[in-house]
Amino acid sequence: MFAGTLAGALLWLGGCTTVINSVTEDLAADLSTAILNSEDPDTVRQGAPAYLLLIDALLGEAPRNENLLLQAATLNSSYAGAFVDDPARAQVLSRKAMYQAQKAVCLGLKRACNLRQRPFPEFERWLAALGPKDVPMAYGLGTAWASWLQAHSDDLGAIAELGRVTALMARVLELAPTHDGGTVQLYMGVLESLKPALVGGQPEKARAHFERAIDISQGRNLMAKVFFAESYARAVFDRELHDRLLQEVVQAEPVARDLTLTNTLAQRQAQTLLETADDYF
Amino acid sequence: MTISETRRRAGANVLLAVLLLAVAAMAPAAWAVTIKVATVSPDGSTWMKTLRKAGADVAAATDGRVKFKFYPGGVQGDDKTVLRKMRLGSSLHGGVMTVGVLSQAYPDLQIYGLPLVFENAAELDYVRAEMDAELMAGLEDEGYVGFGFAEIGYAYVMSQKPVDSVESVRRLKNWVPDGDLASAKALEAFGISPIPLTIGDVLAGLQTGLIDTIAAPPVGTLTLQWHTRLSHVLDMPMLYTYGLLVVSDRQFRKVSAADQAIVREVMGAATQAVNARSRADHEQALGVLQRQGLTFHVPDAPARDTAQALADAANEALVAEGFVTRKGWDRLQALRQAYAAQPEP
Repeated sequence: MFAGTLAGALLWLGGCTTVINSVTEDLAADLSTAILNSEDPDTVRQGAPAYLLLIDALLGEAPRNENLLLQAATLNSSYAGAFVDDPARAQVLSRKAMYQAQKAVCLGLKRACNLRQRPFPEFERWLAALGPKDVPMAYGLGTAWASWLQAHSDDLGAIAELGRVTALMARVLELAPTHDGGTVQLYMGVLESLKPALVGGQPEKARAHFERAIDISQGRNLMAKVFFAESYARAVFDRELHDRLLQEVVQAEPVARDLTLTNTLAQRQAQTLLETADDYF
Repeated sequence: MTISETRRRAGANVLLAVLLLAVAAMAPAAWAVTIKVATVSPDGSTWMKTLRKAGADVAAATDGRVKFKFYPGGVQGDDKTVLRKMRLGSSLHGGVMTVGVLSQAYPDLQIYGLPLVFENAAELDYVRAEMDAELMAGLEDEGYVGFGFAEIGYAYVMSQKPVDSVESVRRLKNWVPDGDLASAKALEAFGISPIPLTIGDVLAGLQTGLIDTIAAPPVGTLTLQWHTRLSHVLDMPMLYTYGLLVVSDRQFRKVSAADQAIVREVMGAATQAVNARSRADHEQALGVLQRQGLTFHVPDAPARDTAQALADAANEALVAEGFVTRKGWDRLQALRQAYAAQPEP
């Protein structure tokens, strides 16, 4: 899903007409299409940092452009999630993305500054006041926040914010259940899988989100099945489901419009999960 | 027989010998003992990460003769269920659990966890350095092999209402973990009538107002997101919480003496690593609770004295009714006195 979001962010660059001239705009759109449809993640891994720098340069010109900030956040966090293996580097990128996303919503949404510091009940009231038009911003913050949390999962200060990210994503899902090609369902599936049932988690809710994500993409988004296997099937020790989902991913045709890169990464991940299954189960 | 035939046969014999040797080398692995360990801790937790690494280290050091298999996230049930399965011995041989359930087999296991026992961390560490091994030996006599304790941290009273003394806590709707006799006794000693709920129901309980006050270690409070429904902390470490990895003696005895030593060493070191990490996490968690907006209330001297007097009386009563043994309690107090009698560094 991260690769999809990465390319989606590039695609969105095309909309920033105030900062980017039409040549850049076309280039961004073409690039996004090329990235989304690439079958070669390694090229994207090596090439995308150039665009992280490009967007930094654009931000230097327009530091208070909330849309540009949100694109930068999405790019940085997606790249960190999909391609950066070094934990320290992933932390740096995800921190930067989180800063950009916070600044974006602070500028773009009402009463949206200091969301991490305010008491939780106030945060919930802010969420309740969000409307459908706020979804892209709120979702952008949610994805950057989730990536930041993933990169800092050893840090209690980050873990303490899990409830906020989950509440934010739940609100986005309520407002727009099919947002980002159903990827919002995928995020909720992963978040709901984190807590074991014995301590109040609801794995069956997680399962429903994963199934919905697969339905929304009509089975074309292979990453949905990989996360379903990794986050849910492993957590509940359902080996049969785990192996079935991953076999489906491995055997599927990865080329699908705007999902080829994501699917290629999903197949690699599926192979790794299958290879380590005997050790896990 | 032609020369070439002889050579071929000799070749075949060498091949056979090599194969036999290879089979012989594999034999210990074929008879490997697998120790299946379950825990409520989710995969990815400090415990699980450390144990998976330790399990791999044991397998490597014993050439695969001893293997650990882990079932995280409570998939095998709660501590009570895990212990029952361990007793049956077919599906599980070990668990990572808090001392609560295990203390039915060996009461003194919960001795550090009585309310307000220790003055400070240095005193606690001094007592533990002497007494942990004695408790492990006692546990082993009951058929369970432990590898030391790993602390979870002190439990604090946290509430939706301001709390600055035991008295202020008494007026509130306090939670006690369902079936947790030790905590129920401790709360009772403070004159608190708690409401029993499972851990899984606490967040909802706080949300609906069924309860408004909990006593829990800060790390657990943050991990389970309970802090999102709390505003105040009584700044007084009430009782020490800790857990351990335990393996049934029956399964452990299937391992050769030499390999047992390896398991003890590796798993002992892993438990110590978790213990050290937990201490650091606990300190950090207190700061995170503050940053998350919870207000810490330091009890004044009279409030502290009252709490200590209540705890002392309660602990005496618990010893009298055999909750922990008199012998164990006296040993602990003797170690505390020895600590106090040390010359100033």
